[in-house]
Amino acid sequence: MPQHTSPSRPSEPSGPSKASGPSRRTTVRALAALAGGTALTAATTSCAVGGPTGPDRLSDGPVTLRMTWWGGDARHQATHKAIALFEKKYPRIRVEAEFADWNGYWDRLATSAAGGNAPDVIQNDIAYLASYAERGGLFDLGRSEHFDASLFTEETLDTGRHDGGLYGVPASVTSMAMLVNRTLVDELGLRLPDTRSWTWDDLEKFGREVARASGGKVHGAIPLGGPGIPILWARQHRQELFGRDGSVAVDPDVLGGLWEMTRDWSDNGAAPGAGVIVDSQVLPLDQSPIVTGKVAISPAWCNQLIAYKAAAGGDELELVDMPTLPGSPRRHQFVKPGMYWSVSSQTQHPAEAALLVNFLVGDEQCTKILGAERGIPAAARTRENIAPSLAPDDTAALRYVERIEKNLAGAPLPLFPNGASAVEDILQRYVEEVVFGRSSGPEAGAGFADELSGLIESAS
Amino acid sequence: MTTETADQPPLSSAPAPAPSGTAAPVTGKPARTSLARAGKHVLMVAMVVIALYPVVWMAVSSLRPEGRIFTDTGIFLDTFNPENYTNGWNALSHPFSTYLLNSAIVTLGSIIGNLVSCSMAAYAFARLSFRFRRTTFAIMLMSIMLPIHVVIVPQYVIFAQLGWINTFLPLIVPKFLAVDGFFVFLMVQFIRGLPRELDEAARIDGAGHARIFLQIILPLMKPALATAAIFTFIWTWGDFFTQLVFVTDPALYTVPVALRSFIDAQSQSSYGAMFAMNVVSLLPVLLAFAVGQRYLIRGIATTGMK
Amino acid sequence: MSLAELQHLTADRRGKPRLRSEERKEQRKLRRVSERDNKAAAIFLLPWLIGLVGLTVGPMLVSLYLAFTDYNLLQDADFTGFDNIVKMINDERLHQSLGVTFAYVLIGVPLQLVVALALAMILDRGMRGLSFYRSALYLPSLLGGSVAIAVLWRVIFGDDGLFNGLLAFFGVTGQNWISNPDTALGTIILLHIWQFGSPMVIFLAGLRQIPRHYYEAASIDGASAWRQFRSVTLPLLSPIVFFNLVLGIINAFQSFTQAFIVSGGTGGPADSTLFYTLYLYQEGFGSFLMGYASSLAWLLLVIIGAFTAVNFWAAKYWVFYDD
Repeated sequence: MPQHTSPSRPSEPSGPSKASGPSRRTTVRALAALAGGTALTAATTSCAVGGPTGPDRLSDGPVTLRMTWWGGDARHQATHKAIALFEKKYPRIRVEAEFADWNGYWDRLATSAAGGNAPDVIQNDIAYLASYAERGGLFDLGRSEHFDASLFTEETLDTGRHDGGLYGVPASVTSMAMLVNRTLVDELGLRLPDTRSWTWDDLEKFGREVARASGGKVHGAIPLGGPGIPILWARQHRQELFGRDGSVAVDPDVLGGLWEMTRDWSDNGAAPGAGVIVDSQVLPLDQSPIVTGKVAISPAWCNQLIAYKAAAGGDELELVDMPTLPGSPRRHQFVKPGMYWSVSSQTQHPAEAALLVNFLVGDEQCTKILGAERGIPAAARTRENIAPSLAPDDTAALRYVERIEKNLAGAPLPLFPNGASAVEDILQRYVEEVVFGRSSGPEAGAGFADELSGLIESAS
Repeated sequence: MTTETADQPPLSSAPAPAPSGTAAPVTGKPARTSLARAGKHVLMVAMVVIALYPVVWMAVSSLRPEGRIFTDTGIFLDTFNPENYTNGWNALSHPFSTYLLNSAIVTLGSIIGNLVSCSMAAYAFARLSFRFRRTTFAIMLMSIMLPIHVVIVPQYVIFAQLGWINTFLPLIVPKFLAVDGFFVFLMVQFIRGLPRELDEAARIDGAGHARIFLQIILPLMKPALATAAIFTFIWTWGDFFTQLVFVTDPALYTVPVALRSFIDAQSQSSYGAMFAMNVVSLLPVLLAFAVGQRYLIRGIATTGMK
Repeated sequence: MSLAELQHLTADRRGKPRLRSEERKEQRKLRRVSERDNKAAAIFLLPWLIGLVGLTVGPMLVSLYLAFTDYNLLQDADFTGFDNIVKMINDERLHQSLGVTFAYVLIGVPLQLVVALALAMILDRGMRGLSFYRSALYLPSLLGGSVAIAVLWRVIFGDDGLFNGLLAFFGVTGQNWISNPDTALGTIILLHIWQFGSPMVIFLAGLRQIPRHYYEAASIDGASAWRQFRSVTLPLLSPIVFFNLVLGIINAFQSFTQAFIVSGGTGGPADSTLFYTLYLYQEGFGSFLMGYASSLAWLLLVIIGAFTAVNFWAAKYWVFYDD
């Protein structure tokens, strides 16, 4: 084995506190040396160097940037148009697009970043931002002279900061809402409770009515959905899923309570059977229970309204507020950054990359092309700019977010800590344990907290 | 050993009176034979239904409007929506023909590479007694026991150093270097099934290994070569992970990577278009298989050895 | 050649492994490791050797080294000794994934091979419409790991799926087989069996290599179909059966795509389809614990290696080579 000693080097003077320049270099060289069959000692002689980031100034010659995103074909088409526009405005800069589906995207990003070949501009997610930042994979745009921060409020930028560095520019925001299949509710001859003030109990009661009225074919709602509902649930209990210090902050019993509620609803008909619940966690939007007509109401990110509607055929879907706990004030909602634009720490052209990010979030024409496909723009000016050209469903989502934003209280949502990228899968697994009666709520909650804490610890 | 060259009847020939003893193995009265034959057909039809239903369902769904795909498990088409095909063809940054062509290049290169390099290595393992034969064979097998996910990063580094990322080279060149142990092993097994007397005889005639390999072994292992070619075609055509990782330019995307780009779990996906293009991309493989499987059979039928 | 002779021949090869290996030693002595063969081997193996040194050994050694580190894909790998191995001992998800994978290998591989062999034998005996059947039966395997599989499998085994429709016909109330932790693995095993095309084709090619006159001799002797199978087909096909078994096991241990697609990458519900490599992938690419993923990979290599070694050892007793 090569003497692969690399004691934690003093962080570079110019670097941000924790995420010093990536020290990936030694490993890369070791791999190359091994692969080339050269003496293993070569691995040890190659001393670590700082991040390869080029100078933060615009280059005089032609520049090629690589930009990558995940999404479906609608996003690919819009983004290609935006890129063409950017290249027209900056003829010196060429942008190579790389797109993939969600899973493939992260696999490819992980591999290329490990190989020292990450794309320059990266679409990022709240679950991965801290992880890539902390491992030194991202460039601190706060240090860039070319990034235009004036578009955003400090609070908005804070949602992309980690350990003081600005590693993600919030491209969009979104918020949890309940989607109601109005057509179905009317067909069943039911009346929705007042959703401006409804509680989880009201939803449960309504769900049982749906089941009764439909003869058990349709149910009320599944009170689950990615990390969004657990976060909201924790907040309604005056807690957070993740603390500011990057730990698992929620009380396991509280989380377990949510899952036991799900199980009880499934038992009494307010929610569908365990099988549908499990499927709803796995299947893409197009096959979710509200699209296939198994539930009348479903939690969703409000910007997905347009996609749900298209998938659900002719049914009328509308956005209503999330239920709360009895007696609790209504101020637990949160807005979540939908997506970020990050710049790789491996880029040779941070200045040009910053220009592209500016363009994507702020350019008048470009943001119109991109519309609300990635979510409601986080910058107020951009929102105003695109508002007139939005489709009615996107306008509804925009209004919803703005209403939530007005009523916000408490701290903005912390980033998912390094090591917690897989939180969604882990949540799902423990939910399944509970709805299939294999664990009690508190047991599952404790298991979740232990496992996730272990992962966070392993990562740091 | 007899010298009989019992050719089989053409496959499509009538099942009735087959020449000298090549008939079905059930030796009984004709009535029983035809009963058994009918039973066999019933069984085959049942198997075909089980095998085909889902595939037919997919093909039918590709002609349905988007909203009905997940709610209809039947295979009867009451609406005809060919627009999934036109939409799918043009949905991504390039027309789908680009991805088909890219996949064809990668696949063709892989087939040639595998056939040449794996058959050579297999000949050595099966017919030559050289030093470290067992050790090297074990290493060959070991190399296919490690999951791709832990070797992909080191491999990526190698290809990046060579400047091969975003070309087809990382997908094709390894095939010329016999990294697919599966095929080496497959061919070894087939060569070992060939009678040694043939190469012994050639050796006595003064033939070297090159000649034995090219003129005796290769022609005899046509079924194995056909099998390897078919499998390489199918697996390369469907391989997702390496093609995703090593090729990032959409102009160079292959079919599997393009197909996944239709699907996004978080927004609206074009399942109809994805199914349509899935059907389109199945056609070449199906064609390749239909053609290839004939060689698979003919190859051995014409040798009539032993 | 008569059946009796043939049986004697194959029994001789199969029944007395020790004698056989002594015979082989004799043969080997006669043949010797000739310099000529060494040179020829060097030439024939040259591409493979280049690939091995240039592309295979390097990454393998790197992953072996990383198995003892905390490599996270972006930062330096620090040597952590046996930490990863200690972690494996207490890792419940690892144990779960081992259970899932062993069940899959031990049930799925033999069943798929039996189906593939049975169909190959039926197809081998020249029947009308042969090439249609062959192509049709291969179709499921052509789908491979396509994303369409995820949809297809729910059409069959979902709540409103075909399978439940069939059950309802017999008055049985079904369930969502994919989303139930007790049955989910079963549906993946069925998916594996359903894609029997590759071993079937290999069996077919192997069957075609069996000289027809062996069967003629057997049927002249009045051997039943079963006896023909036992004393002609099986021994002569044994190298191919062996191949399919060895590779089937290696591949099944590494099975990833189907479970990944059907479970949406989670290995769920409740880890009931958490295949070994799926877990490894989640650790390496989901949580960026590539050091740990590398140790998992090497544990898998040891397990597969052990299975393969046992297979090769047992082959002496039942695989019949003509050389």
